[in-house]
Amino acid sequence: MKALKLLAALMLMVPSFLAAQEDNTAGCVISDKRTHVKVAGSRLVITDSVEMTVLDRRGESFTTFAFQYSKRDNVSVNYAYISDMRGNIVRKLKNSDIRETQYTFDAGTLYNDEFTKYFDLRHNSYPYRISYSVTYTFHRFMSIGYLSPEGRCNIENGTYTIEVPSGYPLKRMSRNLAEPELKSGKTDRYIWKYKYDYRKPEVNQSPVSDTDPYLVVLPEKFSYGVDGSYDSWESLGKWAWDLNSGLDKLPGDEKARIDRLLEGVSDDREKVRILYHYLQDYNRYINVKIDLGGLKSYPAEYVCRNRFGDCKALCNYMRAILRYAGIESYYTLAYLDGQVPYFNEDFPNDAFNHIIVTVPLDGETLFLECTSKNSPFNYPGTSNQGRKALATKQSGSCLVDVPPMTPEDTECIYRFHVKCPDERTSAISLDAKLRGGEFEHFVFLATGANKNDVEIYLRNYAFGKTMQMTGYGIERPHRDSAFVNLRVDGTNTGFYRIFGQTMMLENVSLEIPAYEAPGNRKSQVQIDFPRNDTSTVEYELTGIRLSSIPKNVSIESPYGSYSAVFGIADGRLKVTKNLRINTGNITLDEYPGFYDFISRVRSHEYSKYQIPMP
Amino acid sequence: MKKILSILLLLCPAVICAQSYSMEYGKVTVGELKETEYLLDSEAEAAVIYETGDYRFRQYETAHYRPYELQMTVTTKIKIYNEAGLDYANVEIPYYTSGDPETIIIEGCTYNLDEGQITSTKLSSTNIYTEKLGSDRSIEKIAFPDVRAGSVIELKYTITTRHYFNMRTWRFQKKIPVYHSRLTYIALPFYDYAFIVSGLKKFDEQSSRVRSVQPQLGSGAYRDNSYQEKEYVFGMNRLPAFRDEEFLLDTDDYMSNIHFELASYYSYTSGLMIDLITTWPKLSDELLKDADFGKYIDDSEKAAKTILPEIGLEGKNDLEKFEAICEYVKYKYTWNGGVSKYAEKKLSAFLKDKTGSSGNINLFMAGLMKAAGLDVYPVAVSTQKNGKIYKDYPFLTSLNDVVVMANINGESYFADASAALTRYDELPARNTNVEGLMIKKKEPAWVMTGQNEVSADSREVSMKILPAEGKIKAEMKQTLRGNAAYVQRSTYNGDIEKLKDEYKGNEGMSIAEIGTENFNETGKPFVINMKYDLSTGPAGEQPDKIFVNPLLYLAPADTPFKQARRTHPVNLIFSSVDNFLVEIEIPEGYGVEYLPPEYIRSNNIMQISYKPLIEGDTIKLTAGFAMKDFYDTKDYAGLKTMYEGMVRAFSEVIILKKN
Repeated sequence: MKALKLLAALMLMVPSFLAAQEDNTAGCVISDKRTHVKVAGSRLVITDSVEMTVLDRRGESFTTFAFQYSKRDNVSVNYAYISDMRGNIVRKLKNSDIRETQYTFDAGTLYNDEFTKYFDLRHNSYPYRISYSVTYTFHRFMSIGYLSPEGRCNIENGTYTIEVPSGYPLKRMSRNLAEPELKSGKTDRYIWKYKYDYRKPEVNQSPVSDTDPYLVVLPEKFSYGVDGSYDSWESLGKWAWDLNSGLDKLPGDEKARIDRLLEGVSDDREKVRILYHYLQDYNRYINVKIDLGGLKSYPAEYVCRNRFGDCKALCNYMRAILRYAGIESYYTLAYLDGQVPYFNEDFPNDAFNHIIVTVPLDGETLFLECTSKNSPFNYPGTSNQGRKALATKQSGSCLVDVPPMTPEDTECIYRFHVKCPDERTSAISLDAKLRGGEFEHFVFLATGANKNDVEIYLRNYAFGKTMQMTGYGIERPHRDSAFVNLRVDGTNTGFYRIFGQTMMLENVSLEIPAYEAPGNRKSQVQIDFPRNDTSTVEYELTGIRLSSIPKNVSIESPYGSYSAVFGIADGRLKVTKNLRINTGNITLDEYPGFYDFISRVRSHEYSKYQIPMP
Repeated sequence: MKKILSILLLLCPAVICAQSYSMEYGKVTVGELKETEYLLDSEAEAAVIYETGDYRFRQYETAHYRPYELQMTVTTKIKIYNEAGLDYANVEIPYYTSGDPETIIIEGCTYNLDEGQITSTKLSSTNIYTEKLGSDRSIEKIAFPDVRAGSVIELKYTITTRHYFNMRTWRFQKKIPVYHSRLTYIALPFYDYAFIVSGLKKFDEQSSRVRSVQPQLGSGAYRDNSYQEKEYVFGMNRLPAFRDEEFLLDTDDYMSNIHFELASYYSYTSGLMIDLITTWPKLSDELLKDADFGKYIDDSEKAAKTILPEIGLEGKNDLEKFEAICEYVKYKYTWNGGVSKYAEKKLSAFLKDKTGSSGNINLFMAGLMKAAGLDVYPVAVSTQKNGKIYKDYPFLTSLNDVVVMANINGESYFADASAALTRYDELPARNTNVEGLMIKKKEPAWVMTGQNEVSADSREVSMKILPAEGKIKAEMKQTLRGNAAYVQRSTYNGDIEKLKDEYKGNEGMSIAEIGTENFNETGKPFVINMKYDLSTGPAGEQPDKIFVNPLLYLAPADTPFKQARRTHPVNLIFSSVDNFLVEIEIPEGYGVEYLPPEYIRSNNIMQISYKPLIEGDTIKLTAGFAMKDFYDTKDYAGLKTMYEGMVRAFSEVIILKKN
């Protein structure tokens, strides 16, 4: 996992339903969930007590309960039993029913020191109730409360209580929650009440829900590895800097190597580029998470010795070699995700799960993604772009803007040539220049995947029904190019059909997701980076004389534009299409207009061309 | 000249490779490190230069009731050519930790060429992580240091075990090419293993020799006797990377490997050779005596006294009893996902937890059925993924699941209560059309589970065209049987949104109403009723015409057989049939300008039928296709052609024109 999870401890205590959960809905409701969080000296004790009803067989998939915890923390099951609807206990969980595994569920992590305790509670007479209570004890913490219910079980009555010593200063941020009830005495108890209704995920759904409860509660100050505070982004950055200070020592032979690499190079930008390539060529991403490993970097010497590391270790090493080369750079906390996250600039908190390196040079800031072996130099990528990051320094840590991708950055150009000697056979070739997310995807296929797997993927998913692939090639002009050239050759049993006096010609469609109809859409849309596709299709139809061609199409909207221009040249039909979808958030009020734009584009893109024949 | 040279190169690649590869552990050549691609497969991301195994028994230095332990040493050298090959520098070695735990010793090294010099970085203990999987297994996770494109890594590990059953399968072939793979096994007369070879016809290297040994230490009757060791060698060279293909479940059957089964061993206490397995009948009898198989059925039969009255079998005939008991078990007990021929927990725990493995559920059901007086037998099967049963080698390990078979009125019925949404006499995909051993005292028999009902998807659709609105109003009744019913029941599982999602993304389609029938009555067909609208598309150049594809979003619009050629068979698991009956009301003022031609094809691969006709103001289309569950590799070209022809025919368009 590339994540630096400062909230990891709290996230861990959210019980996860294993495996089958995604395939099921409802069949189960949580009638009561009480979470009690208590700050007890340097420990944080969290007790979750849950009453749930399994309504029918579908609810069975929610009856495996799993609780993750790290080696230095504790989790204990206080009680767990099944009762019938009259309250008669029909089965009590015994200690011997609780199993434990250390298996790493995170595919990106080679090893971590987290364990999972899990048990099943099932009955066969529906409906029935399950009651359980679990207590986690964390021996250090930097976050106190985190509430963000998810999953398919509704919560009818939720109570979230935070108990701290009287006068204990807290910082909090919440959405869709009323102000907490405060009960003061020897301790201060903040009590929030909430409900949660599962909502089906929607296309390009905004991460900010206008209904789901969300709460983050932090101490003003904390000690996690080293002392830190949430007074400001600067203080949080200072904590991260302190935690990782002194880890940038390089062995002598590494210094000598860098000297050789930079010999005769005077330009700082060129030095950074050379060292970034050196990082990519000689190191690989592996996550090993032990103790503070989830937060604290391994030393640069560790990377020099092993030539691998996670995002923290690789960035710390990158910073160390840049520093040795006399170039200042920053260990920068970021958030890696395809979706731009919600970020509250006024609430300093651990809003990050990843590390990048930023390098200020002559008024420009370079962004280095150190976990990728094939990222171009100074290319944050679709999963880092368009959001805030925190550059950490001994003093003066500050938020930086990772630049958003522009339409030029994401432009994809497709050139199809379709040759049809007759109605039953066709040969298709595609030459494409891909940028943005498509570039990242195809670079991975070209360099990071087994060819057999790539072929299976390409022939089944990449080109759909328009083509049966006979060959392909992915070419990158140079290692820092932010585009790839893709060539695909294929065949099809026929690209046009003549029915009566009408030719139906296949439209080589751009892929456009089907959005929910306005009446059904519940959440606002978030488009994270622009789409800018140009597709030219040239049809060479042997023996066919076209007397008319489809009309040109042009659609303009505040959300983007679409055009299709038809022409005949050298006896060939040529279609040039352009689709642009702008970055931005679309509110539910605006949604009908956006939906209309997308629907009109889809209607044209997914229709065959009907051409009257002479 | 260039052409001749390339032909010569093709003829002697082994010679070229052999010149640059060292087969000696600890020795890596500059040639190996300089190599930028594997000569026999330029697309390989990595290649195993050699992998050698040394399996032998080692005598304890101190007396023990088992005086030997099994020692398995594996030595591997891997060349990494590019970034994708780096995955091979992360290695996982699972081992057993229960009882007498297995021990494992690991060493390794990474070699690179740095500025013309060979450098080596040894694997250190900090590169090895032990992950506990549960109470009886752990994994050693190894991350080789200093690995990059061009590196060569060497790994050597030895697993030592007193569990003689745990002799590891030797896998000659992998997803990357293997230049040389060789296993040496030194057998003692005290432990007799059978070798089961799959995925290859002949070893490139195979030998055996005998040598006498005088034991130095030990205990028991054999101590003072000399004995003979037998050394076996199995080798394969220049194995290509295994190429996975779609519709292939039991990949292990197609990859070259040797599997070992302990057939007999010498008992140091009795001084006798103990046969573990001799014949299938004996094995069957052993299973019937097993606490987690036959005894578990017996216990279930006893427990049935209190359970059967709850089901209410009075007045029912045998088939009705069979159905009622199966439905009861399905409803009352939940499958935990575990596949096993054995009951993995005791009956009391199963009855309390209401959940268990397929073994727990089906052996329990067998007990209930026996108690109800049915002529019923457990059938130990090899699932689709588990692959072939090697009948010459009667080992239980080749059978990994269990179903129930009942003989009723001269017919055989199979049931598997782990699949709650199948009909009582249908089996889940993993156990359909597989072979199994009917476990019966002294008289076991091989049976094929078969498919009780063809997987059938029938759709009746009526369409009304509304030219003024530019849309078609359609009503569909979809009737599903067999596996098709199971698949859709599982998709639906009580959530209508899941069924709607099946149609999401179909341009111009909007669902007005959708409902189901018989979701819980698995004995009946699963029915989906749907009302939906279809757009007739944007107005084109011919506004006086309406183009209707009657099977749009109903029939397959694409072929799943996209490979030009195949090296393995196509396993679809189920034979299936899809039928369509579409009635289109011709709107007033319109006539039919174009009606697609009839398309009928039938051979031993597929049956395809597409018959449109006009009856008064209605166009009636009957169409359908039938497929087999399994196609040999030689039938692939025919299958591909037939399917493509079907897709083309089924995408025909009817044109209606304003009069």
